[in-house]
Amino acid sequence: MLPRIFLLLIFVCSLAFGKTIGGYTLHSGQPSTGPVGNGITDLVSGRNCLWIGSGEGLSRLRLDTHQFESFQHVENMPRGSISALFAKGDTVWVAAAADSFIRAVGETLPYGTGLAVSTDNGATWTQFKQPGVTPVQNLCYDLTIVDGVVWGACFGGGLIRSDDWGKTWKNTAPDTFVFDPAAYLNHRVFSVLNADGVLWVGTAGGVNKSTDNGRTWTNFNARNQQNPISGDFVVALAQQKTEDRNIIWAATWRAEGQKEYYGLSKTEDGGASWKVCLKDIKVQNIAADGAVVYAATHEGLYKSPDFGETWYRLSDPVDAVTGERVYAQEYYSCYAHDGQVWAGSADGLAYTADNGYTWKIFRAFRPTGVAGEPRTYAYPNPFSPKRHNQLYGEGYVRMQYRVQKDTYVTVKIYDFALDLVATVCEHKFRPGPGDYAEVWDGRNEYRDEAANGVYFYSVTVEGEGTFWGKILLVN
Amino acid sequence: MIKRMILGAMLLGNAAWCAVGADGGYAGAFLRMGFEARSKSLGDAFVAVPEGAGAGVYNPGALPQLSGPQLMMSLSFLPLDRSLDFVGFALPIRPQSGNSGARPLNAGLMVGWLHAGVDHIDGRDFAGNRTQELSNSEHAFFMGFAVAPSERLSFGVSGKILYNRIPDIAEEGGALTSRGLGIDFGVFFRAMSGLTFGAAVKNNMAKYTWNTDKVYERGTSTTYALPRTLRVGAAWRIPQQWLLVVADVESSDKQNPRYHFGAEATLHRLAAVRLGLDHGKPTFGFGVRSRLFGKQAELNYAFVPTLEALSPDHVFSWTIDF
Repeated sequence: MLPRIFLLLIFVCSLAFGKTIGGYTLHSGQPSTGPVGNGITDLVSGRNCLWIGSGEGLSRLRLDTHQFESFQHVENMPRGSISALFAKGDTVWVAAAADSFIRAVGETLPYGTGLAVSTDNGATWTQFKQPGVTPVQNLCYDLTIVDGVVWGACFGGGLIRSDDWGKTWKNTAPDTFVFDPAAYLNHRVFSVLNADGVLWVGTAGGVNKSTDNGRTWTNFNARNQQNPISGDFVVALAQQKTEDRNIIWAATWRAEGQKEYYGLSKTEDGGASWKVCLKDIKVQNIAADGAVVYAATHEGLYKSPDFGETWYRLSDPVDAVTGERVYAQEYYSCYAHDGQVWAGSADGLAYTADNGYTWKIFRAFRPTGVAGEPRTYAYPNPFSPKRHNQLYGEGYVRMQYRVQKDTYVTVKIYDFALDLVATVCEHKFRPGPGDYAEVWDGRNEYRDEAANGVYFYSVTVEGEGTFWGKILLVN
Repeated sequence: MIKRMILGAMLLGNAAWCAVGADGGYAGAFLRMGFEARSKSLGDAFVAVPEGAGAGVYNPGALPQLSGPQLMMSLSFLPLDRSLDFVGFALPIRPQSGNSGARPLNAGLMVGWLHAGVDHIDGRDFAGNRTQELSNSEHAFFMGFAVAPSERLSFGVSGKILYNRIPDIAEEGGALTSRGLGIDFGVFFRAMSGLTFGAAVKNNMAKYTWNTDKVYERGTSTTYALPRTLRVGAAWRIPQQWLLVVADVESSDKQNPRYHFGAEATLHRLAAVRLGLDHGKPTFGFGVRSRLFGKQAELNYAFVPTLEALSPDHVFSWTIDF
């Protein structure tokens, strides 16, 4: 049951992954309008850049030029969703995963599509197949490097290590038992961290620590300490280090123990004792920035200005220029540096430099009105208001369009009989030229849920014309 | 000049149409549209008109009042890649008087198939990338029966099987389908020569139930009821027979009331011109009668302006009298 939550996350992120990968390859990143996918699975900083893992692949934001680049189809990049990222200087490690319908079990299961490394800041890549007996249900969730040894956290594959920079891999366990993920929860690994040469490993059996690069281990779980972690299922680890404090953070979820609970656990004494904050909140990722620590959770992005003593939730991101929102409460990743915060959600990447008072949102979309694209389209399509782009219990479909100059826009929804269902916006000012999206929540103006079926929408751009699109609503 | 009149009517219709509330979005929208040319050009006011094989769909109570067996085929050319087609057969039953001399009970039968579809739906993923082209088709199979306890009054009932299909959306390219049943009741009353009244309660118990286990990781079962509608109408043919005036009022448990009006002028029983107002939309049409393969046949056409920047609806219907 435990790993299914994670598997579901990967599945959700990979929903956006197209059925076909273009039959071409690129030799390096190509400019793009935003991240290549909107389910942002991981954010790590590299040399002058932010590496962005998503459900549709890898992209990079150059911090000097603010230009996004896509690494979706570069040579030797494993295909699928990015499940793990590690970057330090010019070195970047990537692990990817995808879903496949497995006839033997009659269901769709995730599988690891392999790993890749670049030592020249993404200019060239070397690819490795997924380590382990089978790639099915064996995907890598986290990566780190300690003294030249590459460590990976794999469900199904355990704690993998490579002493020769990816050429060969060993399936190991963060304890003295023979590797057997079916028998030991501690062999199902979800997170790894190098904190000043100390290797920390989060599993479904707690937090494990090795000071000798994997030879000996100490396990901290929800039962073996006086002040333990909140839960044994450790999905993320992070280090917060300042001049006078050194904190290890662990996103600790409830596993199988009756007294376990969701929370964010921290230790300042090497794991001997833990203090828990954000109780009953599912934390997915942690980012530290001096004394400030951020937590990407299933209930939004949280911030603590004082090493985790007090917490508050940042405002829901709304783009100050376009009005675009993040239609998701789940945040999977975050990165912070010098007061600049990047938050990766299930519905795009949000950025703030002023504590969440103003946001800028970056999303993947296909520009409209260019070669091969219509003047408007709706996505996701089919659209399920009960499942897609969920925010406070409502789901949203976007209707993408472009205006050529400053103008006013009206968007309306109709059913098969061309009866009006909803007026999404009327005479709304849109500065141009620019790409915009309006959203519909799948309800008519009496707030009744629209039935399954096909809906038509019109985008009337004053001075440019009326453009039509279709939405297939399937709940 | 004619072009200006049509444009004026379109603007008037659009203004009236847009003034009503946004009450669309309920299941079975195709059942709330005019599906054959004559009724459509009469503003979709047809509940009190006992003529044509499509009359039983509007009001099953009208079936015993039909003049004779009739076959109808109808094709609609609609904007936005929509289609709406109908084929139906209606038959009045008039038994001979028995030896007792008692008046036999007149009756009527009807079968019909109404199909609606939408093609070229642009499938997209969460990043707006194209995935696949999707489509949807919806069907209603009608079977109606009615009796006339007196020459003036008749009652009818029509059962309909609903079938909705979205191909290539489920796992491994399968289709997602939903089925439903509905019942319509109708009553027809001939008040005096030329003046008739009709009423129908439609979509009783009609609903679609969808199970999306094969589409989503966490599929659900969802039921959508079709709005139950009550339609009451009157038709008056003047004594000179060349003019028919019709009006229907439609109310629903979910939607705002709708009003339908129409008029038909017949020229020498060979041709007819029609106009109407369907829930604020102006409608136009004509029909011509001729003989085809030894049978009396009629070709009808309806023209209905639609929304801004869309081409109008064009509907062609053929009826053959047996």
